[in-house]
Amino acid sequence: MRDTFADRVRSAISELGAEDAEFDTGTLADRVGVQTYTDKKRVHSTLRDFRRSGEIESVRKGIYRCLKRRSIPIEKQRIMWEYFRMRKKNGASVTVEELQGVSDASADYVREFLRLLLKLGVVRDLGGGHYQLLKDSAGMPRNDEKAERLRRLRTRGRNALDAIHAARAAIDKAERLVMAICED
Amino acid sequence: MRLQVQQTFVKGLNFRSLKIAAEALTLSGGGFGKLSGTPGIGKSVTAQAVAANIGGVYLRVASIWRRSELDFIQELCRELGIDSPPARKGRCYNLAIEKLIGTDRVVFVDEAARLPRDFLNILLDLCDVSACPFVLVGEPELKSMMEENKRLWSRTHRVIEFEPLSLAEVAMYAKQASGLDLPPSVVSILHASSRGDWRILKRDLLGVVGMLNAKGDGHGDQVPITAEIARIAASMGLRGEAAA
Repeated sequence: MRDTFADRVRSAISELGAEDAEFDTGTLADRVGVQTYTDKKRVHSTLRDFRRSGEIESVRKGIYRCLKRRSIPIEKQRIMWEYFRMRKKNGASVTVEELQGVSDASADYVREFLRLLLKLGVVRDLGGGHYQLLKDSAGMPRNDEKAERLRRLRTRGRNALDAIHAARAAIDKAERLVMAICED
Repeated sequence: MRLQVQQTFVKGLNFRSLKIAAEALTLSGGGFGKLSGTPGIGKSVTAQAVAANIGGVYLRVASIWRRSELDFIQELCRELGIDSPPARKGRCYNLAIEKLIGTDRVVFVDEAARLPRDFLNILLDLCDVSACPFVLVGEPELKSMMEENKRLWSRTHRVIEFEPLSLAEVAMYAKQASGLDLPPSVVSILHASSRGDWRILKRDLLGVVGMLNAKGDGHGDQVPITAEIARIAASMGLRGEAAA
């Protein structure tokens, strides 16, 4: 399985304490082993994602609490992949509709995932909407290109937001200076 | 438009019951669950869907394992993400425990009635040491097999019985698989004919769709679905003992 940054943060959280244990971002960043400001910002972003997905909750500013493991939602792609593998054990093929039914994903998302699997040669299109898994492994194939594209997009979004903040601060400062001149 | 019947999965009452039971086993800190029922009721596919949804492990017993505990434990290792399991039983067992411990992952063992009696003790050890719940899935004879092993039976906290197909599930399945909105009279005919068996329902629906396509000359969606069509489709297949 791939070791993503989120996985590193997740394992650091579990090292810090059991369920319901509280932790602060500084300690967590040390445990993850990040030192630069940029990496610490990545920890903050990851914590924000965890909070949204219900893995952790915010107790007060900078302090978080790990919620029960059971509340961690499993990503839809993972559900589809595991179901695919399990069905293979019965020699069965799967369809888009079936994967939709199991994972509650949209048809477009299911098709996109199947396209990726076809591209990687992991799956065979049997025709009539049926797909069969060829290579069974516990590690799920991932769309690295798309992940990289989304990462770049998020970085650009963050940079744009930082630029807006800086511009706003500069405008505020200019406003104050103009006011001071007017008062004089 | 020519109608088709696609393979699909309906998250019905049985899916929810099994998911709740599996989660309850996790909350109670392990133990065994038993899911048994007649063939065609959807045990395997529901166990697979639940396992995929809760991050569980699904293991299907192969008849070839009958004499090899190593094959069995190696397969479990592979399912736990160990690509090349060791060639020795003890090492495999320890690795499986290492992978399971502290994860609360529910392990579904399908076709468990095929397992030799001794293998139940391996499951018992795995369950005790890892504190992960194990759900055994199989035909009705599974119960007597589990009851024979007193230590295992005393740790069986959940017995899950699947409900037969409901009318709503029949209607939902038809909609998802073929896009057809069946009138209530047709739903009740297919429901009665299926006797709770998904495979019979699928076959009957294929019959209905085939007849609609034939009547509509390839435009099955323009032909009204009548109770008569459903009755003919339902009477076309063999019913085995039930038909007698």
